[in-house]
Amino acid sequence: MPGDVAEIARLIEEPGVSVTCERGCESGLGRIIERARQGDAAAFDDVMIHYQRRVVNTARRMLGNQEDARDAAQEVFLRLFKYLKSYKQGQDFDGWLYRIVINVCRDLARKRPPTAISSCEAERGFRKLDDIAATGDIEDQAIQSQHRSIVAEALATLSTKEREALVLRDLEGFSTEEVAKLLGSSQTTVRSQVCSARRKIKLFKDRLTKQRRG
Amino acid sequence: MDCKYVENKVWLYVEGDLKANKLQALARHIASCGGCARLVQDARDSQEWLRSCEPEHIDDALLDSVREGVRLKIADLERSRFQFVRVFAELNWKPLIIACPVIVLVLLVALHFSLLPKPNPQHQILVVESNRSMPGMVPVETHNQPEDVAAPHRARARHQRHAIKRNQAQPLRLKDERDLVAADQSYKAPLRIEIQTQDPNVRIIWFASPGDGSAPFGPDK
Repeated sequence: MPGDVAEIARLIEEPGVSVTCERGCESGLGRIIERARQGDAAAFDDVMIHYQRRVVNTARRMLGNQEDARDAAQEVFLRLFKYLKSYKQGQDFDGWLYRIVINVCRDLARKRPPTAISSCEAERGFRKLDDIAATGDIEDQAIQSQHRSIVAEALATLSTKEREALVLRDLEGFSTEEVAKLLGSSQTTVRSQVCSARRKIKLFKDRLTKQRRG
Repeated sequence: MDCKYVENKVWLYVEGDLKANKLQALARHIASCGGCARLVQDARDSQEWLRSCEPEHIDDALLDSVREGVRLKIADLERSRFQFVRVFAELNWKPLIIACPVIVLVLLVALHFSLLPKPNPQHQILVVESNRSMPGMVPVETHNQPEDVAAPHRARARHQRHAIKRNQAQPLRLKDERDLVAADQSYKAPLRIEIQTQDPNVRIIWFASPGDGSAPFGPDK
């Protein structure tokens, strides 16, 4: 058990490690998931620890704010606990979990309309961050924070379907085929949604850049 | 291939979302067209800009609060499950086990009575087909016809014999109110059947026990 936890900790520390059984399965995680499926509370905790950042980040990109993302993450893990018994070993766990994430985000978005930041607010945030930005790490952090703020604002301009497709395809790194499976639509539809979303993101970025220059 | 087509497909081209033959065709066009090459470069920059956004560092406290929230909700879930099990276990089953067959029996009886056909409150009128009920009888509406009155005795006797045969073979049948005689079964009184013969002075009256129309008491002149 402590060995497994250490392995999870190692996996979390490793950037860009995918845990999907289909994409290079880590047998350790597979064992932990299986134990969680059989009702081991500690193993379920480990699964939560392993996936929490990705779930919160994805939910944040989908919903646009941290509060909703936290609520969504809680609901995702609660549903995971409820339905883990129906998960079949060998199934793509990442895909299965992401389907839960998407469903939870859709439900939350239906209950609470997204609180999009207006472009003026984004611009104000820009200037404020420009003022705060000093040197070294703080400056990098400020630039990154500003970048995140603009991307969040750009994502908020998309329709729900476009946002889902873009987040999964371009930010979460799923293939078009996987996105189509996750969203329950055809690859053609996903391509069309992603294409339209990319175009809108570029337009938003160009508009904001012009505003800054002006 | 023209520039308009490239403009439509550029967002799929930059991420390799096109089929191999289309990708090659687009690549050939882009290599030979400066405008489309700029378009592709802009699209690539935009995608790079989008991807360069690092995921926000999530505070450990927030992650702890997520896990804590999930644990609490799971504990609530388990508690409610156990509560149900406890209530189930604490139930006094003995009276329920005894009561169940009784309830089922009562329900069956109620169902039986509800399915029984209800008696018609209106008085039933029984109509007897007179020419088949007894030998030598004719319907009321024909007794005044001259040809019937003048019928020869032999023919009448034959008719009587046939009528007797028919009467033995077939029970009394109800057909028409005109020939008839009414009986009121709802009062459980004896069934009274009156038949007018050809002779206007002779009328046959039968009494039968209620509900037993096939066994009249016999002719009573």
